[in-house]
Amino acid sequence: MTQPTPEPGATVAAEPRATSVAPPRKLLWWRFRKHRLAMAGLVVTGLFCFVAVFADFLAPYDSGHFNADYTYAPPQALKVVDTSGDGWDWGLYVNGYLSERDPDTLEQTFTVDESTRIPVRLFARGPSYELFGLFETDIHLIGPADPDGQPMYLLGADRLGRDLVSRIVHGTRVSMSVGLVGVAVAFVLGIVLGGVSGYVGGRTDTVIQRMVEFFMSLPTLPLWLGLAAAIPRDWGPLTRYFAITVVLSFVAWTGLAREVRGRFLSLREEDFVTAALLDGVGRAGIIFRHILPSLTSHLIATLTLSIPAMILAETALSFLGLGLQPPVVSWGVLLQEAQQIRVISSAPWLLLPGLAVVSVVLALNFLGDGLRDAADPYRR
Amino acid sequence: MTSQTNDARVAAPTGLEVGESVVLAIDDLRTHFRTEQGVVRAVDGVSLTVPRGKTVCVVGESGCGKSVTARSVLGLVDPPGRIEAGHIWWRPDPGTAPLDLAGLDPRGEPIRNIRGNQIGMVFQEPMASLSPMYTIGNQLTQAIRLHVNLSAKEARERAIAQLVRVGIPQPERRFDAYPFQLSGGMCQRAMIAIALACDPALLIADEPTTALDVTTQARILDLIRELQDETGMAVMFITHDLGVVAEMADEVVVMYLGTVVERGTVTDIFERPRHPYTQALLESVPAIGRGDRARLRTIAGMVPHPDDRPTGCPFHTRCRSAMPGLCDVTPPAAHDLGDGRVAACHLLDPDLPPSPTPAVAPVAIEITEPDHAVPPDPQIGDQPLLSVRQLRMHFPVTKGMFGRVAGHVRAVDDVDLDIHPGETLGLVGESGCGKTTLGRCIARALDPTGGQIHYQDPAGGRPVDLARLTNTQLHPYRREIRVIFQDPFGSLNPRKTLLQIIAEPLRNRWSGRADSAIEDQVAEMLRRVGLRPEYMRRYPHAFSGGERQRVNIARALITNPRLVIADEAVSALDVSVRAQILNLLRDLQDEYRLTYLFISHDLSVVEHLCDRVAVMYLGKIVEQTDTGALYAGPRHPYTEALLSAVPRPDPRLRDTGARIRLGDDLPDPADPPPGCPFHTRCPHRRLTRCDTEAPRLQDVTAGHAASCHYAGELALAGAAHTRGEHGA
Amino acid sequence: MLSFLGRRALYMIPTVFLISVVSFAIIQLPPGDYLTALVTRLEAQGETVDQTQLEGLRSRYGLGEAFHVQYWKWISGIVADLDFGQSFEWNRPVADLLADRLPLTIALAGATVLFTWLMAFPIGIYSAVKQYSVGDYVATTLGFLGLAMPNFLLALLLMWIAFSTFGLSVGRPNPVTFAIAIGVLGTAGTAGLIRILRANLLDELRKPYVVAARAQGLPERRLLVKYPLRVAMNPFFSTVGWLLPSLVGGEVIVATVINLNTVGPLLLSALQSQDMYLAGSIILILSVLTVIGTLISDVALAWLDPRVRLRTGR
Repeated sequence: MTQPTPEPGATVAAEPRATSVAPPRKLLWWRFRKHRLAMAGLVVTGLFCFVAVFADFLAPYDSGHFNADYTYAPPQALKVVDTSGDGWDWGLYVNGYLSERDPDTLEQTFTVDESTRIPVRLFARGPSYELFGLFETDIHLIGPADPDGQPMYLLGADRLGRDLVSRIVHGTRVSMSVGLVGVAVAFVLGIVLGGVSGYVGGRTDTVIQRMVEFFMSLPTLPLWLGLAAAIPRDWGPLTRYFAITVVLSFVAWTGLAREVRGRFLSLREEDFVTAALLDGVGRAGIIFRHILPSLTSHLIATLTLSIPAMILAETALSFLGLGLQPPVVSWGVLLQEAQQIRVISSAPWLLLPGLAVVSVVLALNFLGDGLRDAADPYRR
Repeated sequence: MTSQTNDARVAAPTGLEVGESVVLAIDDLRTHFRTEQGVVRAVDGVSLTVPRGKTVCVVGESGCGKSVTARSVLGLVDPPGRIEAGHIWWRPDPGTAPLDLAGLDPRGEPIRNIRGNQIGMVFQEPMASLSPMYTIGNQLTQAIRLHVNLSAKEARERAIAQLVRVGIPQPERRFDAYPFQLSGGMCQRAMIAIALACDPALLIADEPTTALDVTTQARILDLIRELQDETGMAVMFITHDLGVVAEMADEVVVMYLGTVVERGTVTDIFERPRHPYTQALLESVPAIGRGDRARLRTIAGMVPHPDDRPTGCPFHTRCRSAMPGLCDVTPPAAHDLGDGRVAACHLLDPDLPPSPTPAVAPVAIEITEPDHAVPPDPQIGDQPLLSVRQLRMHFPVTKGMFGRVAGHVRAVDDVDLDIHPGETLGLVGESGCGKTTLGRCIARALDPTGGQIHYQDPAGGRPVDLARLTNTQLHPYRREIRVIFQDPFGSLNPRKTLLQIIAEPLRNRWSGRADSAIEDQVAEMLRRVGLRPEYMRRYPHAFSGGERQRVNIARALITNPRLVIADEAVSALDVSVRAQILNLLRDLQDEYRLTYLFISHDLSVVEHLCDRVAVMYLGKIVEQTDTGALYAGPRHPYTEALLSAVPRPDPRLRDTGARIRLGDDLPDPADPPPGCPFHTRCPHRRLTRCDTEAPRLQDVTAGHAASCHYAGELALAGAAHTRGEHGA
Repeated sequence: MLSFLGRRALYMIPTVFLISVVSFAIIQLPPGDYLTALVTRLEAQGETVDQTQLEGLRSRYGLGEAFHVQYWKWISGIVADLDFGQSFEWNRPVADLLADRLPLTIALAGATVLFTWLMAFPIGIYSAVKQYSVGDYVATTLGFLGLAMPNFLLALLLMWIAFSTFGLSVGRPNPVTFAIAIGVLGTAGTAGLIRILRANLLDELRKPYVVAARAQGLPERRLLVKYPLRVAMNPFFSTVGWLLPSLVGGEVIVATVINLNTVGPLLLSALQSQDMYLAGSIILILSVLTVIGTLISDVALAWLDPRVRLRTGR
């Protein structure tokens, strides 16, 4: 009955004032707040979501905007003050390019020309778009002051002279939503089948478990590849997008179903569930008022942890040309441009969408880990 | 570190002497845990000595630092715990100088040579303390070869000899068994074999029997005493059970919140306790065989958490003799009372002017008996409230991938039981005997495989068979029969407030909102179980185990039930809190005219609370009668063995009375033995009938039923007998 | 133990059968078949196709027939004499194509497994034993990065570095690209294993039997190796079954960047051109290998862990 080391949870309960009246949600948040990495993950994830929602506003151009004169133009540095003249001349600008064509190879090379200035302003006018489909506007967070003048490439341009900043920002929307939608589909499948399996038990459980085991025994990536390759090429971008998310979730639901079932089984044995039964609570009441609320925090953590896998899978499929197809822009589609080492060595900025992938995956992992630890401080 | 200990008799700063008769002397030990929330002073100034060849029991409630003290001796405190100050003088041999273990590097060579070699240690959870990946033999030979230079073959021989020594049957076979293939008792024997492999001078036993059944506990305690007689080793025995202390100790150290409040010989402590905490602790324990059903004395409140330690005397918040301005300010010094008795209490300070409160005044809260509690409830009539007939609960044992049913565990097997209105029926037995399953069947948390549960509403109406009702039909009866659960933590939904938890059965099934009338009712109920009504908006995590158990009781009683099934309701609680809850149950029974089915493995608590007792073994009831009759003259050998195994908190009763010890292994309930299920362990087994013919539960005398072929002939010893013998 | 093995092997049969149906169904899913794909491709290039020749091909491959007939032809060929059918694109038997590619694939897989274990084992142990040390933080961070970085991105980066700093030729396979492939393929697995090993080991180190063993006077290092490590090693064996298929899957992606003559690129091109017998056979073989791998890891676990061996089916 003695505890050799004091439990961390016990000390929390001992602070009488604040914690004794706090609901479990608040306790969860307090525990979560202690994980610095998880908090950072939360902030970064929030930023990416913000970018995804306001992509049209944040990107200087739309995703298809191209200019063949600027093939593989290198990134320009955004400058705040011009000291080239006599004094300090405040104002946002980027330097223009000097382009040269190699007479033998006909290859075009760009160098940043320190002498030319392309003024840049916040809330600049650019291509028009509809914000949330509600009203039309052409205001962008940042852009060249003169929309018809020289273009601006803060992160460089690709083969067709498309602005990488704009494409990454627009890609965020697609890549993030593939993860979320995919997880949502997997979640519905997983929670329904896992919950039924865990609560009903018996033969139903056996059948569902065999099914899950079968799906789990299939090798993931080849299955993904096969299913993705089976999507007809002539489907429209939107249909294809949904088909890909379904393919992704088709493989991911099994893990979720197992997790939900395991939790259901252990919760069903908890004394407080028996107590509810003896209180005369019906079956639906037990599931929805007692078991499911106890599951939510774990579920959210598990879901958060399965989004990165979805994002990575979409990126990989698109990279191989089996996933999303242009003109849809996702990070994987962008990275498809960077398949050749020769291209990369002349335009290394094409790898930048990869940085976005890595940061969002890291952020979601930290966030999910933090959530899981907060939901389950003792980790039985 | 050893340089300062050259002198054979070293006087420590507090005057503690490490004489030749002392094997271990702990001097002002402080072991602290530095956590994010602050420093937890788990052990805060503990001094004690272990005389050569004697047994010192360290006793205290959970969280008092006794385990950490024991681990500090061997440098086994896990980070972030550290020995901050103090000395642990170790003198295995009177001829050598004492060595300060506190000064040794916990990962260094010197302490490793002492661990397992000079000091052996046994832990609380025998199963978890042995690695599941290796055989018993492997772990035992390793322990031997670590400190003794032997070949593999010699070590094996010695290991088998060691297994024989700790009483493990078929040692050659058990040598190759894995821990999970053995019972808990067997594993603890193996652990003891490992701890004693190198004939240490001291054995530290940290709650070695807490996780075991009472019958197994008795045998393990016997074993430790036998081995001590044989080897002359000293034993430092950590326990929370005062009965075990009385059985084992030569000297006793009472701890509270990381400090020693009192120490002395076992007779002094039990007969003339000087510290208010010791006195209160002793009075809050019901003793078996006394037939004592008076209210228990309790200690107010509960043990504070070590990082929330009160200033001054750590006990002053719960002490009735606390002197304001002194006890809550100045920590008391340890006063030497002569004959090795030490107690840390201001009342014992000779320099202090005599206080209005006498030093030896009883400090436990005196609660006057409620008037109506004295006469037995006149309601106990002939018509049982609940009568169980041929109840069976069989759980299928499945095998293979598709859940083929390979057999059945007969958790409850043909049980007949009557519960009369107003009485308390105790249901006792070892773990795995089916008592909890029986309780859950009656509450219809489980669907019984067969049999009837007739419930007769005393207010009138026809009896109904609860076993046949569907969940919907059961609804009205769920308010009549309620359950108090064992685990105060798992039984309350952590996501609901007390109001939601307690009001759950009152909610309208469909609308589900709690109105203000219900709120008033919950507030009243909380007040009744000793909690403040304003707590109703709080969540369970804000409460201690004892408080949660009060919530559990409030939830059970909110529907104004007739029958309450208390399933090990006080087993998870500390001694002082347990007494509070037992008193509360008793008061509520009188107030609400409740009938209890009290399920427990603790025979002394059952004797204290129950009118009648049913004893269960392997899913069957083997004996059933009035409490007095059962404890005075059991008719079934199993009951006799159970009673004789219960340690009694009175050192004078040691080695008196019957000593019946059962084998450790309960038969597999999926494959019960033929004939009498108890014949495999029965000391009175006769070859004629026991192996083949199953006895039936029948009356031996009026109202005293036992299922033994020889119930009428055997002269079996009860718990009360020993008291008489002692007096004679 | 033997009957346990036997039963596990028996359960494999229905699984493998279902897998073969699923594999075949996947490659049948896309509308049209290899020939229609071929025709569209040729017509796009402005060539015309001889209809009679087309019909001949179609009947020869049985492309017009019902699903179950085609499936039966395919599977009976495999079971009877290991005939996996003909690759349309390569115009060679699938078995020959695989025989060309498998040795390198297996060499790559083996080397990657070895790399993964050699990296993950010491780092995982270090990380758990020295919890919250600088090394632990570095290892944990690297582990997270390894999990978050898509395989092909790492491959691109490494190849780019090799190309730009060492002037490595990218076109042909050579030992350096092979090494890069091993590193890339092993990274995610290594990172995952480090995390699992660290978490398991930390759990085990808190168990009472560790304290009990320490109380016997066992030196720390021996204690670590003998007790918690053996339990914590389970993930090393339970992942064996997944290694080959996930490697081939990863390799599909990596080989697009690094030119390697392995099964991965073959699968990719077969899927893209609807070369159904080739694609189906590769998926089938991989799935069967997974099932066999799972069996092997189950057996390894049972052999390693007496609890698995002695508690469940004997």
